[in-house]
Amino acid sequence: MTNLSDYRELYLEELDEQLQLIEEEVLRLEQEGPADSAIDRLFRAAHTLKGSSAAMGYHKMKEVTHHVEHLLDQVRNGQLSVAKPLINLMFTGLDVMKGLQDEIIQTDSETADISSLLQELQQYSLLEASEAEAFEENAVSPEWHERLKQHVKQALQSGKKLFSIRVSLSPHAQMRQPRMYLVETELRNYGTMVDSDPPSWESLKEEEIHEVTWILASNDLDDQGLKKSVSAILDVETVDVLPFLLSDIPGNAEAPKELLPEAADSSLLQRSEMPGTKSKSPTIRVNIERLDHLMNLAGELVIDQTRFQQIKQLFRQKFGADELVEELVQLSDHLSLLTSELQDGVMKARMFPIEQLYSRFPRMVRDLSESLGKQVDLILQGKDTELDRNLIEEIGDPLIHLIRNAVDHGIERPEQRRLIGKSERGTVTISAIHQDNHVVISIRDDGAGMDADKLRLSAVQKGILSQAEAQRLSDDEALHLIFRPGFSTAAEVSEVSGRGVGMDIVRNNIERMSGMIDIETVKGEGTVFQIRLPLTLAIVTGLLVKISGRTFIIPMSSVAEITRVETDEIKRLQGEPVIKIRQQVIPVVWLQEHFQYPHSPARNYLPMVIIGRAEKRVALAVDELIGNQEIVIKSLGSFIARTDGISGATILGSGNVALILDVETIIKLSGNA
Amino acid sequence: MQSTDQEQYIEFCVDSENYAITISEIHEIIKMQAITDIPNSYPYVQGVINLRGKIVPVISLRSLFMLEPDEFTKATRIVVANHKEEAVGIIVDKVSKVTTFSDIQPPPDKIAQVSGSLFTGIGLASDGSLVGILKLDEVLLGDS
Repeated sequence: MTNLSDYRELYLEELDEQLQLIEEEVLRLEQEGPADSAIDRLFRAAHTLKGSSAAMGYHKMKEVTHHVEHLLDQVRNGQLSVAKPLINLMFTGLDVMKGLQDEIIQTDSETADISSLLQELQQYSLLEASEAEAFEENAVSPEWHERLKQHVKQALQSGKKLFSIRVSLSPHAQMRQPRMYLVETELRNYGTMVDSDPPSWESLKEEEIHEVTWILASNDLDDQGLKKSVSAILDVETVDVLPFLLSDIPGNAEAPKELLPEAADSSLLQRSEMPGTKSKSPTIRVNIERLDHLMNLAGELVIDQTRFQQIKQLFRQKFGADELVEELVQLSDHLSLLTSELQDGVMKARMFPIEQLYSRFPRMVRDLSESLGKQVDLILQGKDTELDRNLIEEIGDPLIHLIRNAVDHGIERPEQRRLIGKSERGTVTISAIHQDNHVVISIRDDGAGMDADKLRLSAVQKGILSQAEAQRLSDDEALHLIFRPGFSTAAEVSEVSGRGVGMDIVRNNIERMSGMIDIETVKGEGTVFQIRLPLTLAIVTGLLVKISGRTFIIPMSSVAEITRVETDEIKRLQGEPVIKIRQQVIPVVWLQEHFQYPHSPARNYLPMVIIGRAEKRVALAVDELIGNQEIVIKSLGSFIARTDGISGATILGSGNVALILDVETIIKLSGNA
Repeated sequence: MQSTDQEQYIEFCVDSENYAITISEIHEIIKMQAITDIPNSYPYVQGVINLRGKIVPVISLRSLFMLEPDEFTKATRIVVANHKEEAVGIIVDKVSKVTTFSDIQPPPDKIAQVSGSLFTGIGLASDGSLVGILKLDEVLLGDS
C-alpha cells in the first residue's frame, strides 16, 4: 500500500533534482547570457515543483515556486529581461528553497520566513523597468528597442540622419571611464546624442568598459573629422562610423552585429553548448544500505577465500597428488577468480561519477569571486570519472577548501592581473582521472603561485621554525609548510579561507582516506594541488605483523620498506632509539610500550617496518612478519572510545579480529610530526 | 519505580550475585569466544569479537563492578545487547533463566558494592529472591 510517506520520498528526490537543475540553469544564464531554452527549462522546473509541493502540502515551497514561476513567465513573454539583479534574485530564491528543503528533510516542517523574498519577487517586475536597466550589460531590453525606435522616428521626421559610432579602448587602458567620457563629449560636437549601448555605460564598473556604441543624429556627419578627433583621444583603439537604419533595431529585423556583438555571440554559444539528449543506459535507484550490505558480504567472501587458499596448500602438503585434492585445488582456484570478479562488480556498483560532487562548485566559486571582487572561470574536467561513494562524501570538504584557497589566495585581483599582462579573468581547473588503482584529482589555478621564501619567512615569524631551520629547508619542503598546523599564507586573514586552520586538516583528511596530496607551483604562473586516492576505501592490502603475540595490520599503502636490523644497530640519539638506513636517521617505535604489552624477549635480529613519507619516517619494531593479504576495513564502532594508534579492525581468515594500526598517529607519537 | 506487569527479563549471575536485563534490550546470548583486546581502552572493555562478520565490543561486568577477574568457564556467556543501534557484548559468569518480577522497587544507593545508579530497580522474583535490574544506558555509558 502506498501512503503519503512513500510519496514524500519521491517528492524529496524530485525536489533535490529540480533545485539542482535550477541552480545549473541560473548559473548558465549568468555566464552565457539569456537564452529562451534555458528560461523554458527553468520555468518547467519551477512549475513542476509548484505542483508537487502543493500536492504534498508544503505551502511555503509552493508559494516561492509560484512566484518564481510567475517571474520566469514574464521573462518568457519578453516583459522582463535577464539582468544581474534578476539573477541575484533567483539565487536568493534558490537559497530560500534549499533552506526549506533542509527543514522538510529534517523536521518535515516549514518555519523559515519567506515573506521578504515573496515581496522582492513580487516587486521585481515593477522595479525592473527603472532599475534593472542601469545594470544592463549584454542584453538589451525590449524597452530600449522601443525607445530607440521613437528616437529614430523623431530624427527622421526632423530630416536628420542617424549614425552609429562604435569606439573601443585598448585592453591596457587605464581610467576607462574618463576616457569614454571624453569620447562622448567630443561626439556631441558632431551631432545630437540619441542613445548609447550599453545604455548607461557610465554606471558600469571600470573594468567592464571596453566598447561603447553611440547613436548620433546629424544633418550631415563629417565622419572623417569625427574619426580623427576621437582617435586622438588617449587609449582609443578603434572608431567605426556607420549609418544607422530603422531596420538595425532588433525586433524590426535581425539584430545588427555591430550594435549588439556580445548578446548575439552569447546566444550562439548557448545553442552550440546546449546539453544534447544523452543516451543513457537504463538505471534503477538502489538503497545505499543494500549496496553496503552486498559490499560487506563480498568482503566476507574475500576473507573466507583467503583462508580457503591457505587450507588448499595444507591439503596439498598433507595428501600430495591425490585426485580429490586436485579437484579441490581446481575448485578453489575457480572460486578465487569468481570472488575477485564479484568484488570488482560490487565495488563498481558503489561507484559514482564525480559529477555529483562537481555540481556544488560553480555556485560556490561564483559567490566567492563575487564577494572578493575577482573574476574567476571554473573549468570542471573528468565529470564521468567514478569513485567510491564513501570517498565522494569524504573528499568533498577538502576539495571545497582547496578551491576556496585557489580563488582567495591563488587568483590575483583583476587590476593586478592586468598589470602583469595576464587576462583579467583567472581560471581554476578541477580535473579527475583514473590512474592505475587510483583516482587523481587536481586543482589548478593560474594565479600568483606560492613563494617558498615568503613561506619560510612566515614560518619563522609565526615561531614554527627557527631562522636556521627555515634556511635549511629545500623549496619543496618549504611549500609543505602550509600543511603545518596554524600556518596561513595570506597576508591578511580573510573571511573566506579562514586563518590557516585548513591545510593541515585537508592533508589529514586525505591521508585518512589512504590518499596523498602534492603541490606544484610556479611563481607568477599558478599552483596545482594533486590528490591521489585509492579507488575504494573498503578493501585494502594489509601487512600482517605480530607484536607481543597479537596480530596487527599495517596498511600496505603506508609501508615504505621492510627490513631486518641487528639489535645493536639501534642507536640512541638524545635518548631516543634510532636506526640509520641509507644515511637517513629514522626513529624507532616499539608499540609494546605504547600499548602497554609485555616486552618480547631480546633477540639478535628484529624485523622493522618503515612507515610514512619521505620527510616523516618511522621504523616500527615488530616481533614477526606474517605476510600481506587483502583485508576488509571495519569500524570499531562508537562504543569503543578512539584509541590512539588503532584506526579500525578486520576479520582474519581464522575468524579472529585483528586491529589495523593508525600509521598517522604512530608517526605523531614518535615525536617526529 | 513500578514496572509493567510481566515484562520478561534475562537473569544472570556475576560473582554469585543475580542481575537481570530486560529481554527487549537483548540481541542474543553466545558462548565465550576469542576476544581481541584493544590497547589503551577503558579497563572494563575486554576487547572485540567477531559476531558473524560484525565487530562487537565486549565489556566485563566483573571489571566494571571492581570484582576479582574470574577464569572463564564452560558456563561463561556473552550477553549481546542493543545499545544505541550498536551491539555490545557483556560477559557474565552464567545465564540463569528468563524470568518475570512480581514487584520492582527503586534501587538503593548501593547493591553489593555497586552504585545504585547502574540499576533501574530491584526485582522481586517469584521464589522471593532479589535481583538487580541493570540500566544498560548507565552501564554502557563509558567511564563512570
